[in-house]
Amino acid sequence: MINGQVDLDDTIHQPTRLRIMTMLVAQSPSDRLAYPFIQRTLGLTGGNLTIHLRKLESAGFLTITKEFLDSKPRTWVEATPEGRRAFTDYLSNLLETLNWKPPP
Amino acid sequence: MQDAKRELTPEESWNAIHATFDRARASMYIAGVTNILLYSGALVALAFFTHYAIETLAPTFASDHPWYPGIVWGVMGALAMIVNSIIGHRAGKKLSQGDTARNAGIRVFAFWMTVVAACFLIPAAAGMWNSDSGEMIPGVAVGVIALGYILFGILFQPMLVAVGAGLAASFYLPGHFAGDTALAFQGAATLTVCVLGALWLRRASAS
Repeated sequence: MINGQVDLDDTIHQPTRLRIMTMLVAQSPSDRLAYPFIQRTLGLTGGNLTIHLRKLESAGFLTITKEFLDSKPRTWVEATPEGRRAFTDYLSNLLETLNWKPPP
Repeated sequence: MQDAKRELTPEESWNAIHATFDRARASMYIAGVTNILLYSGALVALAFFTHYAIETLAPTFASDHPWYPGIVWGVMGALAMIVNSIIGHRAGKKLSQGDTARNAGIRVFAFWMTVVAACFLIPAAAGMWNSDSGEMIPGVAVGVIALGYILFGILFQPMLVAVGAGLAASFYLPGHFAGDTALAFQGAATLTVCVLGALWLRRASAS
């Protein structure tokens, strides 16, 4: 808590990265999403998506795997357990900031 | 871009999480829908044209075998279900790998299986499976399929609501106004609706 404000993780608390992490964490653990699927769903350019994926990857929140599917190169993105934990913490802090209380 | 650099307020973050979750889920449920529409349009049009060709070129065969449309439409329906499932499965595999995509695929398949079953069961419950009212069954089936598109569109992709309405209009309007050539008009109109729907969806997903 800083000055009465709850501290939100800066790596996640950025519009594009928040949406990327939401997409990844909304999947079951060990599920992975195709790079073009994330790009199309979030309406991002390839360059923009790559920059934010690298930032999240360097924070250890996701892994990027390249492999061949039906003889075509595919890039897969998957949230790491650490990334899922960070997102859960972010969500708890966000709810605290919003003063949300679970129903009795 | 400017907007993306600005820090989000907590309320905006909360809304962004919900909007992204909904959008990702909907994208997964409509995987492959563009190709499915194109393929379905071609198949349904082929069934209409086959039906029309038999009625006009072989009227004796048509009157001797009054149940032949059931075979034509049954074969087309089975083919459509099998190929559409394969297209949807392959498209889903390209988007995501794991339980979430698999569950989405199973739900979509179950939804359309229910719609197809309703095409048979509703006329059966209404006592229409007989030689007197059998020719009204396609009208019921098209209405059920159009409603399927409308419901699926309301849930996941609003453009499919227009496709559903278009499919219904493609069948019912020529049926009322085109007389003997209704089957040919129905085939052409259905194909047009499916192609336009697919182009619209492709354009929307590219923008």
